[in-house]
Amino acid sequence: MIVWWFAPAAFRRAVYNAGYEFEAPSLVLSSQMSDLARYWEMRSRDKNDLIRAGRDTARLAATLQYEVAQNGALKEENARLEKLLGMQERPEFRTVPARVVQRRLSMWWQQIILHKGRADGICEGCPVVNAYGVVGRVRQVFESTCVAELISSPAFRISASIAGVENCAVTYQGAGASPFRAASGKIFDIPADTVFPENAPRLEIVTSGLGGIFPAGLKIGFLAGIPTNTADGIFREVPVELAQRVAAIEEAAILVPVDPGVLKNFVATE
Amino acid sequence: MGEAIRKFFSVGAFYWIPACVIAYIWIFLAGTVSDALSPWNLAIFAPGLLVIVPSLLMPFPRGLAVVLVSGFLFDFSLPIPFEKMDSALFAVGEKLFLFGEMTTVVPAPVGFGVTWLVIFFLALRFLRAYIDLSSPKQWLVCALILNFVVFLLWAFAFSWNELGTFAFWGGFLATAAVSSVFIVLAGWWFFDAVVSLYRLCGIDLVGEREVDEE
Repeated sequence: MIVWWFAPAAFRRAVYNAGYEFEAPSLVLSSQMSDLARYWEMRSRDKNDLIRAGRDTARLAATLQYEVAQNGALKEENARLEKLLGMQERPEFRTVPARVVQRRLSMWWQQIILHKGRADGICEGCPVVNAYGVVGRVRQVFESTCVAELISSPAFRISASIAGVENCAVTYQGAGASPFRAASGKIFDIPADTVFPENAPRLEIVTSGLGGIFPAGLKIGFLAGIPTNTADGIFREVPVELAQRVAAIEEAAILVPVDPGVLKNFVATE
Repeated sequence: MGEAIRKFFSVGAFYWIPACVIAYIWIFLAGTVSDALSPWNLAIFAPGLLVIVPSLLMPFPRGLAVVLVSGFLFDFSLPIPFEKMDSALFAVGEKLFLFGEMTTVVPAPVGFGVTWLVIFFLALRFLRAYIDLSSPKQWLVCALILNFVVFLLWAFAFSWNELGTFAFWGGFLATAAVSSVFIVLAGWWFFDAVVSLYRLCGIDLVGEREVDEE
């Protein structure tokens, strides 16, 4: 045991990784078993339910197809305008959908294990998102799995902005979660002279895209309180209600930069 | 020499294989239940059970080896950054690793689980005389107490600055209660499975032999 304490960090890291790789197949198997149970549960459903679900999905697909086409056109126009203005190019991503294998949510950590790893091109620092916004960031990558730090984790920080408030870049940080309570976060570094719109509905917090790998405009959550001044009186902070229940996430998308070199610049800054 | 080789490769010498299997199954089970409880932000903390059989029923060197293996497997299952584990050893790590690793972020556990499991293994060895070795009920009570103490140490080490907050104690009590319920529900099965597996593998359980002799 004492030898272990004094062993070089590289050795301990290698042993840790080996231990994790040994453990990973059982986690994946457990997740697949629960998927199989869900499959059999769904098989027992009434055919009318399936027909109804199929009809709803077709309607949704038709709407989304139109929006995809519109987005393509807007993207092209945006790129053209950015080029005209000489703006810096933003990193391009490919999306890797990943199933949640295990959740590790407790008083001390907020993490999920995803079933995509080094073999799928995932690297440390990649953003993890879903339809409701930011989910977290990849923290460790193994051969076929990766560990993502959730947005609710106090170890997760990101540059954000308040929708409807001009020129106000703030910092978002997870605030952890207590048992039987929804996870939350907070934003800070809000300049004390910031004016919040009056009579506005819940103000949305989104990623700012400044100084980080996360693309701009991804939803984080909503302001959930009154801004309070920090001890120095220069800045203010506000609690944030997350846009989604992170504990219930079953599927997420990992954004892998097309140029992996881009990531190295951002990991250190975030 | 021949005797030594025969002893080395005897069936009983491979006691660490069922020990690893048992520890792994228990940790996996706790992780799976934690996953199921995650919507309520609850987790299972139950390494205390892994000390009972090695300390009460196994010869000292074998028991110690089994606890070491179990402790390491427990540590590997924790998603804790390296420097956090150093502070979990009550700041001893700060002095030990002052000139090197403390300043780097290496996600490898330094051994919170293994350290405390070994300490409680030794403590339980001294208390063996006061425990009925043939009573799984008493093993279970020992496991509950031991697990609670390890969890308390864990919570103190990791949340030293939050001890004065209501949220911390609420979370602590909820996690401790859930872990205790898990140990009570799964412990019976676990002890039975462990003893059966060791017997099946032909491994000498000292405690059992002492009870038979009595």
